[in-house]
Amino acid sequence: MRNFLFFFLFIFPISSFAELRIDITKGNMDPIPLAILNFNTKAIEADEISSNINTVISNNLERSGLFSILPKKLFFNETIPFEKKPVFSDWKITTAQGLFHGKLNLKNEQLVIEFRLWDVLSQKQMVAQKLVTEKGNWRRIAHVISDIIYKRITGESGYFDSRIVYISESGAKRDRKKRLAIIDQDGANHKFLTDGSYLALTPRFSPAAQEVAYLSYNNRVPRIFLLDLNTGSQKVLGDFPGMTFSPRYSPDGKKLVMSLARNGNTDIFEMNLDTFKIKRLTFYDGIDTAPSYSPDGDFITFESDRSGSQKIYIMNLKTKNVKRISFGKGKYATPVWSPRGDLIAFTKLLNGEFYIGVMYVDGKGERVVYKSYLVESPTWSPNGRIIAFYNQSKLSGGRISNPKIKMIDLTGINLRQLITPSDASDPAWSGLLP
Amino acid sequence: MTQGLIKSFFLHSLIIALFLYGAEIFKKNKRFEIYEIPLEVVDISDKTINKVDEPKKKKTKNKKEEMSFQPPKVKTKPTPPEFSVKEKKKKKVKKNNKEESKKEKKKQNRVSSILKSIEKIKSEKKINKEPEIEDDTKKEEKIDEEKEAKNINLGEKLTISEKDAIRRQFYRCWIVPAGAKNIKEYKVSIKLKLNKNGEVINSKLINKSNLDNPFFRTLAESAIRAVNHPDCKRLKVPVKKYETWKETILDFDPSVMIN
Repeated sequence: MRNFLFFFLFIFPISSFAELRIDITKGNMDPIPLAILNFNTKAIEADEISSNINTVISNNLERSGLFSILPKKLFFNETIPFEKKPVFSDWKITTAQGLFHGKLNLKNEQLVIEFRLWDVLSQKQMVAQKLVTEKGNWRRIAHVISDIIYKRITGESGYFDSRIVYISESGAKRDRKKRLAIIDQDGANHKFLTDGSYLALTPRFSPAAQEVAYLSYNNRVPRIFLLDLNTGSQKVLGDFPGMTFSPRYSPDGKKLVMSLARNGNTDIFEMNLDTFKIKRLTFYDGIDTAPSYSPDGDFITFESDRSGSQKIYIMNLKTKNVKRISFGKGKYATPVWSPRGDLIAFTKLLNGEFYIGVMYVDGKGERVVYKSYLVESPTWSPNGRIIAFYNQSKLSGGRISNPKIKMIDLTGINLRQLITPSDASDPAWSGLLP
Repeated sequence: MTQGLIKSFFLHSLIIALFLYGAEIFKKNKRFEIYEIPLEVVDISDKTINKVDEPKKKKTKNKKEEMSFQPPKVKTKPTPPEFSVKEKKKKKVKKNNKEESKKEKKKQNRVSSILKSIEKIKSEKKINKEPEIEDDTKKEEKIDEEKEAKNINLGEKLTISEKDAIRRQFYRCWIVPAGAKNIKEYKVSIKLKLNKNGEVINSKLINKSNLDNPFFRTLAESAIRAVNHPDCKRLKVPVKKYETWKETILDFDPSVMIN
């Protein structure tokens, strides 16, 4: 009997009753159309703030390249009562796939905002939140709301509530003035941090985004300065003869990794910010430079010429094992580890042209996201989705354009320029503001 | 022990024989199944006669009347002068510019068409009528219906071209979250229930286990939006094969596109 059952268990499943199954392997990469409605307000004073917040949110999402903000003339109504569900059939006609609306109140200089985000096609609420802040913080709250919308739809954390520190350049090429400046990622709230009396280079944000480290060649001696953004005070971390790049902070903010040239040899060192002790990490007779930590702090990536040409390597900080990850033609430089942990951005020089590229941390999937006459200094947005860099283009008559900061999505789409008061180079993107 | 071995040997060899021979013996139908291929048989007459298509209401009495048709005279193609090569390139550039301006006009036309349809709906909202569908989509639906009517029901399975038609429909509806982390590792399966017109009555996500992963959720939501998109709410399926497609599973796989 048992054998008989065994026999049928093996035989009968041979003829299966397959249901229709179709694989969908192709779609499009169009931006998701969103409808951003005006906030419901009670006071006239709140109308202006409401309109400003609405504009910042729309600009943020549009500029990300992932969303398309629909013009208000397509809407049946410009506001929806906050307590009511939208009539989705009306919104489907406008081609909107997402719908944002809310209400805004001013209470004793406090801004109270409640909002909802709807999925129009699935007819479901995606997000509903209430935020309270001071009236003067309206711009930051617009960035926070943009981050919430971005995260809910894309699954990735946002990057709108962040800043970029960079080197502002002005003056003639022979007498170039370079000073430290800071700006919001959308180009607002620009501010100079140094007066330009000494050369400032390669700024870096601390993980808490409250301090900026930068390299200065005051009296031809390279020194690291730490600038506190809240107080404006500066202190010298130390003299570092032979340093060409400003050090990078570890993800926990307790260490700095840097390259130092000693006795004709450039190697990578790590400094403990509590003890100020320096530990040597590489021992190669050549140039090892431009190190950058992985998001977990267990690895660094750096450029080295140990193979005969500039290539990118990664090192396990526990085992000190070094592995080469770039194998393409050309010279590779300034590798920067993505905050997402999956990619490394770099600069590449090949056949007289510069590229900004990305590759996976194992070296696979190398691809170019931008190329130009001169591009350098890639820096990642806090969510590892956007790369900022500075570039100079070749103009007619053999002239070269002034340096400008540009941003591009890691997929290579949506190139944008960061509008600065003057020429700009060496950008460094902060994390999300606390 | 030996009996058990003998029985085991007998059963294993029987199973192997059945696999070699095939499971055909269990099918009620013929042993060697013929896979039917859709085929339309058309009688070809000895003479080809040019006929003019007339509307069905009007019946022609004199079928013998033939429309005389004179082909246009072939004109000799003028040979361009030697220096016109650059001009042709300029013309090409001008054509490209014209095409770009046409695309921009198309975009503007799309927005204005949406506005017009909204105005129509606003005016009809008081009477609580359903919004009218644009003329273009009505024409397309008629053409599709005519095609379906002409299809001969030669088998229950969907043909490759019928499946491709459904895939092509989703090119426009599915916005792939291309830059999301590790997105090519995920696949989303959605089960659809369709009515006889091919309209989606119900859609359900099958593989829900990864929903706590934000990137998988993003992909799942993009697929659900695609299935609920107005352009994909009604699938282009052959009406006569309803039993085959009334329950369909769509597997959304972004890896091919991203690779």
